[in-house]
Amino acid sequence: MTAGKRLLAWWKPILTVLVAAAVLFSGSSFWIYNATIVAIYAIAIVGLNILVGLAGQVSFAQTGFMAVGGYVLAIFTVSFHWDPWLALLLAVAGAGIVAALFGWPLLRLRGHYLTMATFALGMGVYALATGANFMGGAVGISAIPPLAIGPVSFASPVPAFLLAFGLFALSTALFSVLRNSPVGRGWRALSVREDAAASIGVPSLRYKIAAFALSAMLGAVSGALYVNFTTYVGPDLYSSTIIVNLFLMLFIGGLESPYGSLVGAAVVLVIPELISGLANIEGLIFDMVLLAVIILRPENRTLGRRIVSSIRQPSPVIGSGGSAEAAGESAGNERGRG
Amino acid sequence: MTVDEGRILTAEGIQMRFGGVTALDGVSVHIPAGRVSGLIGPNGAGKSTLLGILSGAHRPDFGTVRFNGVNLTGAGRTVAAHSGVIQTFQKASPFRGMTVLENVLVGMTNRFDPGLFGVLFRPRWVRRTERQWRERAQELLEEFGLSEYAQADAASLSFGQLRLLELARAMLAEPQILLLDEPAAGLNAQETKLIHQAVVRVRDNGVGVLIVDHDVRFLFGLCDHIIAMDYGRIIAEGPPEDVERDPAVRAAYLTV
Ligand SMILES: Nc1ncnc2c1ncn2[C@@H]1O[C@H](COP(=O)(O)OP(=O)(O)OP(=O)(O)O)[C@@H](O)[C@H]1O
Ligand SMILES: [Mg+2]
Repeated sequence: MTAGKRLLAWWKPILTVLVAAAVLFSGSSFWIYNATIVAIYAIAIVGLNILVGLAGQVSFAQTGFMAVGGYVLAIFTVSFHWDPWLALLLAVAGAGIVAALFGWPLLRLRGHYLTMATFALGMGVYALATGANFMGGAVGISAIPPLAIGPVSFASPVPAFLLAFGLFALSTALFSVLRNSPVGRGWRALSVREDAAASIGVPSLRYKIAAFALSAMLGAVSGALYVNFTTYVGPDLYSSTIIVNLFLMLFIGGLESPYGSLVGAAVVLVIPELISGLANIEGLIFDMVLLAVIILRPENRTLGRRIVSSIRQPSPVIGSGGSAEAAGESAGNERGRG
Repeated sequence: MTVDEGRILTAEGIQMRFGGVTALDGVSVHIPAGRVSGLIGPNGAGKSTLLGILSGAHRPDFGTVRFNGVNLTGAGRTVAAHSGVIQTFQKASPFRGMTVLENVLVGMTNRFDPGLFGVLFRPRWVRRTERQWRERAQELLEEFGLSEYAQADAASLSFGQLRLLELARAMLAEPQILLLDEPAAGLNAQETKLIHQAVVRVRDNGVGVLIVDHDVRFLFGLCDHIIAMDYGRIIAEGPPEDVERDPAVRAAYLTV
């Protein structure tokens, strides 16, 4: 590979760093604030992409794990006076454990059963947050002490920006390393033909649980960072509208690259901010362009099909003769991308 | 031909019904290591169903499947694969969206588990082991004439190449018993020859093979042992010459 080609292969991270640096050195508090929120959301989308893009499992529970991140950070710092870093670690580990525990029964389900069950899980966390007193009810919890190193508070704009982008960079590295590892190949194989993957030794349930747990842990990182940055947590952050937004971000960013997640989050979060002062016609045009991008992007056909079939497809009963084969056949009939 | 009595895949008294259809009606087979067994029978005879049961994918209504003393009855494909029993599919099943090389590399999962730490931090032993698997995968692609497509999307291969890829993938998983469902169907002479050579090679390495095919010439020229089925039962079994002469087989299958 020539130096030029090598540079070309790295254009996404390079461009990301350049844009981030431009935002930072512009000194604009509007842009620094929004870029931080975008990077924080992008971490949750990279996590979702591990599950949906790599392992091929559609889950609507990601807001639930973001809530685990946010609430564990809030409750353990405010009520139990834990060090915020320790609370962050607990939040991430907790989300992984909760995901593994729920994933063990849930990920045996296929098609719309899995989708419904994960939606119920996400909404269950939302309902709990709204109802439970120790979680602050509908009012939520405010004045959450920030992550800090000495005098530097990571809730103040520039350190928060750097932390968010640093952790986003880590999550992209995680995504890429996983994608090209034996586990990542196993995920991608089982997402296409689960029976064929299993027949050459891919432990599909174990791998799906691993994807679910890792995805949940990135969700928790994102949720905790958001709450740390805004110093507030409440159920409105995890409503069903938010899960729709997450999938919108994933659709726009695409499944191929974790950097797409950043673009997806930016488009969904920032452009409405920019055009909110304008007449309705601009908003309409924005929606149309969004729709066009979503429909025309070839790889979205894969994601779209995955979601549609996850809602529509009758669930083959596990172990009954031939039906797994039949499900595989229908997956096998999918046309290749683009 | 050496038959290792210790390593033998056995199915005893297999019965399998789908609604009103009795797909298998008291079938018993023995697939020893180091031997190529052929399975013939008309469409709907129950061949694929039997392979699905032997590979742990389906649980029969009655009967047991064992390998190396392990009960594989309805144990699932992954468990069967780990214990060494690996099946390929009648319909090509490429992992589209992955390169041809990556498709083959999936098979390493059966024998190599680096664990989460190994995946994330790639210590030297993991890199070394992965390199060995990669070399082995390249060898297999070479063997099946697929080297030049290593970096192409698997979905871009021709029908025949997909069948070869499927076999290469299964071989990387290091089977002890290989169950092949019509691996040569629709292949040209050159590709059929590659399948033939590959099967002979794994047989000589001590792998037991059960191969389903409708091409009687191909099968009788390759196999050490033939099992003939019709209507979910075994109607004849033995060396190819004997089965070829069997009147029940001729009536059911050979004379069409
Ligand atoms: N999942 C299933 N549900 C209902 N019936 C099935 C199922 N799988 C197989 N059968 C029936 O069981 C019988 C045996 O089918 P099987 O696929 O094993 O035959 P085969 O010998 O492999 O045939 P072919 O040569 O056409 O591949 C057939 O009558 C088939 O219709
Ligand atoms: Mg068949």
